[in-house]
Amino acid sequence: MAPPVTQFELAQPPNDAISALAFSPDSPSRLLAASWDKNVYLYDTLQNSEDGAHGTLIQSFEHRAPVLDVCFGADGGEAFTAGMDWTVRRIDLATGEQTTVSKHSAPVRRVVYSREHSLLISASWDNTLHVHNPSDPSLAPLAVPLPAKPQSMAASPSKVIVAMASRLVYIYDLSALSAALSSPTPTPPQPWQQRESSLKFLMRAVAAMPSDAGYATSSIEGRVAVEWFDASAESQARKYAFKCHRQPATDGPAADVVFPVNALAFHPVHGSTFASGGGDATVALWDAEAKRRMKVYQKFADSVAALAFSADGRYLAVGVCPGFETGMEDYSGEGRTKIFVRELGENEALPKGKGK
Amino acid sequence: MAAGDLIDFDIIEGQKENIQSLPGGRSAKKLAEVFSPSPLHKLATPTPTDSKNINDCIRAEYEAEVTNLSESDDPLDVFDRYVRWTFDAYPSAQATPQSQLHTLLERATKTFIGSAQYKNDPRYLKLWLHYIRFFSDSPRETYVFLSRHSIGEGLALFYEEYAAWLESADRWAQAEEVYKLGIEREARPVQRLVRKFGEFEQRRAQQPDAGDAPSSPALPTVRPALAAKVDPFGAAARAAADPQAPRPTTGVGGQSAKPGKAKLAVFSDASSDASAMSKMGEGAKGWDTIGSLGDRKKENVMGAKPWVGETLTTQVKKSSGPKMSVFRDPSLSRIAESHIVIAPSKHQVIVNPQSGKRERVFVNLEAIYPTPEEPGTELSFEELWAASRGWLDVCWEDESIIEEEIANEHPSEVDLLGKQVAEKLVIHHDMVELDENGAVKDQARPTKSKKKKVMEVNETQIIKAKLDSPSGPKIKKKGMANSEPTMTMHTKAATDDIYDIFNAAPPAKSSSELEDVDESEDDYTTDGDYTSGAESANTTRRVSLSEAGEDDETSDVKSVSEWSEFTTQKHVPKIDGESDNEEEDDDDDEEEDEDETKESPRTRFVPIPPEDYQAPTRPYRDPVEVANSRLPFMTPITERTESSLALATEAKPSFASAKTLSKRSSLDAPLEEDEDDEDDEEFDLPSSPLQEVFSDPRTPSKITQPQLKKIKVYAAPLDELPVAKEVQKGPIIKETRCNPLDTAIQNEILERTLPPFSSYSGFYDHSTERSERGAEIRKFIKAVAKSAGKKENDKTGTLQSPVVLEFPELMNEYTLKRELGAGAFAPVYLVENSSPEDAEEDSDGPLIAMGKGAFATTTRAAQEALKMEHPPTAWEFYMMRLAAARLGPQHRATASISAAHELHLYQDECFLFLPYHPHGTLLDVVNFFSETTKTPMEEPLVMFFSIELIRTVEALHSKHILHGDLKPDNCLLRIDDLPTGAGGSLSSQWRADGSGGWSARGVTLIDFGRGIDMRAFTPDVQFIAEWKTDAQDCAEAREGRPWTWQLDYHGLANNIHTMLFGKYIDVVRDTSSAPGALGTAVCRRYCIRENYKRYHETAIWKQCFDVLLNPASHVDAEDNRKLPVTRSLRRVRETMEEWLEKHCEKGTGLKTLMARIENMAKSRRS
Repeated sequence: MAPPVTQFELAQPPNDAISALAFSPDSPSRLLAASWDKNVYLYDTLQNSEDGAHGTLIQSFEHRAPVLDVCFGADGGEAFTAGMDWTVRRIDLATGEQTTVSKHSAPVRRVVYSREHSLLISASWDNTLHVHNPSDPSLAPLAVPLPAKPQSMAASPSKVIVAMASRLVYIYDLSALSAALSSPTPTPPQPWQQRESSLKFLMRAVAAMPSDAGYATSSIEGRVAVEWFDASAESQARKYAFKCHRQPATDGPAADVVFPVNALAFHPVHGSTFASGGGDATVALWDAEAKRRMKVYQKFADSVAALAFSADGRYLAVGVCPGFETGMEDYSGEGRTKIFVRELGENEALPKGKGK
Repeated sequence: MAAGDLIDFDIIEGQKENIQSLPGGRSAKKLAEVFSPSPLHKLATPTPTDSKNINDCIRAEYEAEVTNLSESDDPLDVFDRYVRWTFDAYPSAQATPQSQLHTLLERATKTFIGSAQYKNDPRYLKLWLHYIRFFSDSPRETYVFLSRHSIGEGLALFYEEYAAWLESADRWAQAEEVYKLGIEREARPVQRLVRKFGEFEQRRAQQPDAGDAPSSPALPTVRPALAAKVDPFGAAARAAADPQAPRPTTGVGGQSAKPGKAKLAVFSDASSDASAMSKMGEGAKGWDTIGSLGDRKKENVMGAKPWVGETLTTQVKKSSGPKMSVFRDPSLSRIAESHIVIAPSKHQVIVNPQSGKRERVFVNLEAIYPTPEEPGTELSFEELWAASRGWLDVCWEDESIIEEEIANEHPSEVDLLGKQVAEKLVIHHDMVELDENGAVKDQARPTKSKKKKVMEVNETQIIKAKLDSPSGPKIKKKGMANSEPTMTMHTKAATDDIYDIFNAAPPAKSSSELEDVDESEDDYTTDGDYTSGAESANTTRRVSLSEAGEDDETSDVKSVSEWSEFTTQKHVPKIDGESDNEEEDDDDDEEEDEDETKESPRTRFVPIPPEDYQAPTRPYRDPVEVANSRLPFMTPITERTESSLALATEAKPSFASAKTLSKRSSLDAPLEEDEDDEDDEEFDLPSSPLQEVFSDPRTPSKITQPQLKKIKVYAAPLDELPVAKEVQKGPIIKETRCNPLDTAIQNEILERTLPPFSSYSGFYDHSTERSERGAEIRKFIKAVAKSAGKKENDKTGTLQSPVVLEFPELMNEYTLKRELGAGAFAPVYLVENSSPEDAEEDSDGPLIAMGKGAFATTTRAAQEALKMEHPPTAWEFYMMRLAAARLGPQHRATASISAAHELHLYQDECFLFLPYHPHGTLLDVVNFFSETTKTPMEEPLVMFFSIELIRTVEALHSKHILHGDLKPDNCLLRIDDLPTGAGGSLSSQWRADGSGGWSARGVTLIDFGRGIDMRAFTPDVQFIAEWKTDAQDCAEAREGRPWTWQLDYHGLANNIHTMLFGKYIDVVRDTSSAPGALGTAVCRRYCIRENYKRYHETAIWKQCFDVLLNPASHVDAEDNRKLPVTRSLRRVRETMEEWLEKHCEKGTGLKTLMARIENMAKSRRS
């Protein structure tokens, strides 16, 4: 039998909405959380404090402005953050030292690090990607112009997917970016593929399959689309989109309320499993290959803002905070922002018919 | 016989378009050679060009031979071979310049013109024939030329060719002539010539008629005068002398005859003198040479000549195409391709085509897609939120620079720390620097608009750190001149600090000095002078006393306590300066009256003009009317207060000498009862020194910045970049007591709201320009009214041209129709929108069916209302947008709130476009019932509207918005289209959830001009009414006590009372309850004076009025034991809903009653 499934709430959560969560690549218990309260928090999720609270806040790193994204670097010792203050920063998690890696001319929305290519890519609302090689800081970041504002970005082993406004999806080949960066006269490469979102509404999140086969995007209108990189007609015919994160209206006449899908995350081990978190405060597990829902977790108190699987796939971190889709002016995530860590059962994320 | 000898015709076939046909045919072998792969070149498909090098060599050999022509026995042979080689080497000879066939032939033919040896040599003739065939533009002339030179005279070939050419030109007669000439001259071979002539004769016989063919001699020696005919312009003598001159030559003559005027520019050979032709002289017969092809076409070549004196005509070509090709960003087109227009009104609620189930999109699409048509403009939640928090306005570029500066200065500062401490001067420096600090900030970003408060706050603090730097002042000085008004952190701590400073420094001079400095610095807000604050504070206190005295005996006690409360606050010592500052904003007029004011505070006691105060109340309590229980007085109520306002303003100028007096009276009896706070600027600001005292913390930049900064300098750690978040989160207005309708306060809120007010869609700020349409509009409206009064029918005939409003940003235009509501300060007009949103009724049906109706109110209709508030203000627009934004599109209450379409704010006028609600007001409904049934409204209907009103107010309050002016005239009847699901009619059973079509019925609240955003104030804020209160104002306001939410509760109570009893509310102290707690506000209870009818649901109404009139006593039920009493209100509403669900079908029935109202509304419309 699978061990009892546990879910616990981390002590000392951020004081305001969570923008991103990231598990360390080499430890299943080190979790980074980026928050609108201008801090990046580093937790040890498994080290319980004396008073019985789950998890320990190891350190917090203050920024000048809200942090919109965070990711680990080459190892668990460094992290990169995307800031509202236009900068991409590297944090040495051991010393807490912050260095500015590059500077955009607008807030930086997302940052991803590709361990395969040792590349750091940041996407900013100034309609550019910046490609860096953090191991060689002497190289000036390569700016890749985008046609629209990037809203989300994800990296698979060989590709990086940029979801933009106006329903544009650009897929860049990481090796091409790497080559362009190291060439003496860097010229921004053309995207490997230019696509149009299968979703009608603004895209909210994108996540790449660890198998390098494809990616999933979600929109503000309760829908998730799964697509494959392979441009062949056969593969493209496999792409699909489905509705999710809808709840019957509690007030007024019968209707479904369609919530935004704020977060997507693929399971690092069972590559076809992915989790989606929506404004309806639920998290669901899906099987991308079998096109079926595997599980819906119990409702959280507030909207799910961020999701992250640990590198070994055993833990799922869920960032919960009140959604800021509406009524933003009086918004405060304080007190209602929480991070839950769910320990997945052995077969919980295993697609049906694969394991047993 | 080798296989290779066979000619591969495929090769030739493949190249045949490149092969020039020759009369004698071509050698297939040679062609194949040319085109077949050369062993020298490995190319699979060689072309003649491949053999270019070889050809060039061969050509060189020929050229060598040609140069040695004179040495040759048979020079013609050289040319003959040369030409034949050229034909072979260049199969497409004529077409290609490489072949140089043209020049070659010209050279060859010319060389032997005079040579008797070759005159009858067929080879020579053939060269000529080649030339004619390929290059001659007038073969006939050339033939004639040949005949003149007797070339081929004895050769049959000449005659044959010439005749053939003539024949092909349908010149049969001439051809015959040529043949006959040839035969006559016995040209060799005669036999062939004769045979050809025979064939010609046959062909000619088949020709039906050649009558119109030219009959002139083919060889025109016999007609020397031909040239005269050809060239009418030619000089007669010359033409006669040289009848056969080639045309180019005759053109020369043309030039002299007709200079310049010809429409067709006739070519004139400028070099004609030097030309070969002319050299021949008059004596030449003209046939000496036929001229080279280049010669003949020389008009096509522009000769080189000196540029001096030349005028280059630059002819502008008028292209029919677009004048300028608009640049299209390819990336944008990429965006456009993938763009899908998400119209919020259409997509917010989607009906699943399969299941028919409605799906509401949770996200506010209007926010996400502010401009759906424009690709790439959608905004993510993060952007929206960041914008609302002001992060997007932050320019980190500057920030980082400043930060760097700080970082740079920091170490040196540390180094100098000891010195600094030692040097007393440093402290002085600090003082100065502090003043200049703001200036530095401005210098850093002179273009920054005031709106970007966040930034400024940030920087202010950043620079604070800088202040310590000894090098600072030099840089900072520069900014002094153009210093702008700046925002400063005014946390409570900071202001307390300021007060401490002021408290500590007793001499008032110092503060006034500071004032002066600030005034000079602050050119933005300082535009006037003011009364002495202390004095006016005094007077206000009296005012409140006097007013209270009129109303309530106990108020004396109250105001005293209030005063003591006031004095306990730290503000007192600052009164002078603070109020001064406040009033700076206000009135220039005040300036002159300053002394007067000081000396005559007593004028405040001048009695309030009775017509203002008494008029409204008297009729209500008129015993006769009461006895009749009829409401004739209800009808004329509308806009009553506005007219009184008008009176007051009109009266004002006449007070010229006693201005203060008038002001005083206006103070005592605040005029802007109905009017917007904007008027405050004129009238009521000086009235409340009390408020000004309290409001001082919001203007710290004007007064006490230096101190504030000084204090902060040492407190702010260098590495910390304090961001505006704290400030943003907190309320904008820090005063704990103020007049929320004060223009200054409103302006401050407008300026500091986030996201910036200017970014609101539909807001068009022209506040620097003047519109000056008002007079025209008023004139037009007057004309309309007049003509309407005269005769309904010829209204259009007598009308002047309708006023059309256009705004620079918008495509659509608004045509003024008529006045909807008159008012001195806010007339409302009906306008016609030229481009209403084509809301497809069918597809939108389900949307409205949602019962939210929100989309019905946000889409643009053909008829809209235009409110022109005066003086212009953005406040109402702001409050409406705020309410809509906070409620969100999903909220049921959104339908009950009027939307604000757009606002055009000019310096002198403002145009607020609102949806047109044609159904009348709640007051109309009340009057309708009182007129038709002689009774007040039926109870179920009152219950229905009460529920709707309470629910809406509840929703607004839960979003921290006070409407501020709830009265029956401001509640418009809402009769939306029925949802499709309702089957076209209301269900007879009413349901609280709005089903059965009932959600489409209700009220729409308008006039948010006195709305208050409670979030802009501190939670414990208390408001003070500065208008003349009457029975429709809440007890607190009437008694001069501070109030907050009570205003709306009382308004609500008034509405319900009006509906229930058919008259405005009158409140009395409830003596029955709380007997032992006299004198304390909390325990005072109020109830309505009117007695409930026996059939009334007394329990419900009593509970309702108790909550509304005594909200303070119901705070226990609330979460934090504070107003608003939303929970109690909800309980009241739920009781009502329960009752109505049970009783809606009893008696007349709610449905029937509603139908009656609808009919009333319809008849009203027509």
